[in-house]
Amino acid sequence: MRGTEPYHHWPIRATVYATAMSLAGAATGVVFAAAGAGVEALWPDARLPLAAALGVIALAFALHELEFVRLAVPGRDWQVPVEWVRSGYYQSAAVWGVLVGAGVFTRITYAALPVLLAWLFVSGNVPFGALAGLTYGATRAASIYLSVTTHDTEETISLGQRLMGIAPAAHQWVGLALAAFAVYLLAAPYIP
Amino acid sequence: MASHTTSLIPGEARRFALLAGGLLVGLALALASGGFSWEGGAVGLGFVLAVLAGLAQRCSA
Repeated sequence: MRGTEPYHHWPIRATVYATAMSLAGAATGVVFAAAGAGVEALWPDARLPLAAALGVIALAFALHELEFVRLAVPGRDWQVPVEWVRSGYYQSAAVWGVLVGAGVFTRITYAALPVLLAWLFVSGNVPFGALAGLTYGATRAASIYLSVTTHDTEETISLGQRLMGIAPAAHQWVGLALAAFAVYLLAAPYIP
Repeated sequence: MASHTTSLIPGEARRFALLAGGLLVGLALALASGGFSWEGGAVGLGFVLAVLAGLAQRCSA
């Protein structure tokens, strides 16, 4: 994120990036929840069967994250074109944050996001969609501030490598959470 | 497709334990939600997924 601007401007640029990413996540959440609300208006009894179907899907992706099966995680391989983020010290951070933070334009490595978006759709709850999307974007952006602790490019690259080293454990935590979510969706609605 | 490999995971037992743990947590939460709105619990779990999705996605970039 650091460019040729004075170093003391960097935290402002990081905040522009984090804010854009958070707002884009919220917008995605609103779109999915509003679409679900529309479906619910047409088919009022849809929530329970859709929740059960999502429970089965979440369980399948839990098995994927824990490497019992191999599934393709829904997503796109599109990457933000370099020329779109070439100009403007703050503008490029905002564009990058919006496109990546929306979550639906670029590559998704973990099944937690597609399952979350599907649940926002099933819930049809627009304020929940906004808050959950905002939470996703903010937590995804938060690590940018870890770069404050680095002093040069080499340290920044090393930080990125350390974060990537957490990936196997992250897949396992996501698998555990998806398994819990799946059982909850399959059981909770039917417990008196 | 996820980039994780089997060689980075300590063993089969750990994966089975995580799966069983997740299933038990979900069942316990479902039982605890009895008498309350199941949607409310699912909203709470949705926020957990949102945090995990955001943090984990950063680890892959």
